[in-house]
Amino acid sequence: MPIEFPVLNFFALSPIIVVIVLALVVMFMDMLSSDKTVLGYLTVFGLFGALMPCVPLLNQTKAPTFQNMVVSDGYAVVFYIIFIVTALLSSLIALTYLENRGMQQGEYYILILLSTSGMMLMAASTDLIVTFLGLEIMSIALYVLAGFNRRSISSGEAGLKYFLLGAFASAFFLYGVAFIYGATGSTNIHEIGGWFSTNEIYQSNPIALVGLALLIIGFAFKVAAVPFHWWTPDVYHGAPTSATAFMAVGAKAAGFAALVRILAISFGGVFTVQWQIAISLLAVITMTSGNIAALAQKDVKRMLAYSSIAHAGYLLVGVAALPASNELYRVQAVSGLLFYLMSYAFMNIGAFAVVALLEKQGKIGTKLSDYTTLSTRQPFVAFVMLLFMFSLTGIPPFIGFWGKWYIFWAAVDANLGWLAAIGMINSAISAFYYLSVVVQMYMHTEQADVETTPIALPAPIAIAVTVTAMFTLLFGLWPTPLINLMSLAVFG
Amino acid sequence: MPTDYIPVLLFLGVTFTLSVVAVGLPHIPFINPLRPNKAKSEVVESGKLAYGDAKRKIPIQYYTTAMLFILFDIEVLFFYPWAVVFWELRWYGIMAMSVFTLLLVIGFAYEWRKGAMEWD
Repeated sequence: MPIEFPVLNFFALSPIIVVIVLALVVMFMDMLSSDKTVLGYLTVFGLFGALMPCVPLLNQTKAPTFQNMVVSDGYAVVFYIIFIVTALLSSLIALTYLENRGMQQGEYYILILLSTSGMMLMAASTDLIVTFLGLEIMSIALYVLAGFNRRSISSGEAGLKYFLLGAFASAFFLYGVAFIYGATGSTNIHEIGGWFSTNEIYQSNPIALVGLALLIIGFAFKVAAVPFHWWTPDVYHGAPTSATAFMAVGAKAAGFAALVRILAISFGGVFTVQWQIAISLLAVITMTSGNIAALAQKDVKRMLAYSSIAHAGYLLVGVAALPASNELYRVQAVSGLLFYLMSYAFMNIGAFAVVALLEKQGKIGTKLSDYTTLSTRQPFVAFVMLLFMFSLTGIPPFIGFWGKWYIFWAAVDANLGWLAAIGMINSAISAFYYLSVVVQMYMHTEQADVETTPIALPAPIAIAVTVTAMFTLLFGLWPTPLINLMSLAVFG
Repeated sequence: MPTDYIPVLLFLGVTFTLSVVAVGLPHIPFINPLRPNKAKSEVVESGKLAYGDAKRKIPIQYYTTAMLFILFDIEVLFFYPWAVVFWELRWYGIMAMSVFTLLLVIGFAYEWRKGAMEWD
């Protein structure tokens, strides 16, 4: 019996393949070279190379490939860009941060690249099993990255906690997939959606509903939504700051990438009322408790960890807006979400870069008091930190404002005005803790017992903060090109 | 169809009943009268006499060896189905397997170079 060979369109997955090959090249170089800094630069330039195949893919029509397990559509490609930019910027931070702590090792960059490839696979996958595969490729590398600082107990704790709770979350996800497969007989998200539309009597099937609930719980763990967020502060605090920057943005974006695709395609027509309510409630408690917990933090790294929970809440508002009344509004919600994730990548990685720069040897995190007189010790860094804090609060004309604007706008269009209102109140609360950093930097300069020695600014981290600050300001003043890019993100 | 799952329910029922019986039977004095002696209360270790303490220290190197074994064991598993349909797959199979083997060799070289194989 002859075997039928599948036609595989490797070009559709070329950005992922480039990232994996890059990981192998870095691995190979790691064997030969004793200077690990070179590997960092190789990673940065290689990731630029991985951005190249995204450009032709953006203008191409959607291409399902690998027996409909993955698809290369605008949505996936825009997410590729988000992940690659995140990996690139966080590698720049790592170059300085790891060097200062004597942790410059090739493994770090290999793991970053492998994790990125997993995230990209999650964004492209149209099959729940492939989504799980991407989830695990991403997570296992992240567990190791969280515990990368072997001499620090907190880092080890972060790695172990992340591993245990991450495995727990994966189990929830798989359990959900099993239920959905039991109810519909497929793991392909298009087929699941199709099954519900052709078998209308099963549109209230409780088995599928349980599966969907478990699926949402699994993703809520990964994106750090309350009440599944307990690992977040410890993991983000204990992990090396450059790795925290990477996973706070990358893992969150990857979780949303898969969640939105599954909800929109498989469950766009069934259980919409149920999951809209569930996601809305998650959004409300995530925003509120993230912001309130962040108010109490004295450590800026921990404060940013709680703020990342709050940002997951704002993003969930965008997800809740998905079952909008018409197609235009739905596209608006998706592009708003992507815009928010991109803007979050710039401003959050920028803020973590500043934390990484100020973190003292042998210590984890930076106290709020470390920022006193930063405006005289290192005026440029103080200025960019001001931009990031304003942007994270959502003050115009920075990029964070437009992110919130598009998401809340989508919520209002989906008749979720109350949710948008809660989001805005929360943004106002968040101003308190973000701006207290600014107050420390610029207004407490006359204290006597503060350090006044200037802080050196090494080149890689200087590039990272300059680039992120530039985009934060540039796209804040003129968001049109970015929102045009995001509107290309349509499902295939 | 919910009725399709009746065998599963049946299976669950049989499993549950059997477990209850298997665990419960030894607790009935009529069937299992308690007359302990020295030989009976020893640890069962596949017919071997037990020795020492289970809380011994084991060299940590066993851990890397065991982990590497699992990795290669699972990866080599993919060669079997390929070997079975080798002629039908032809060049397609050879190309696919070369890529797979290349990845495997890079990983192997990496762990060798990094000293994962060294005992001390």
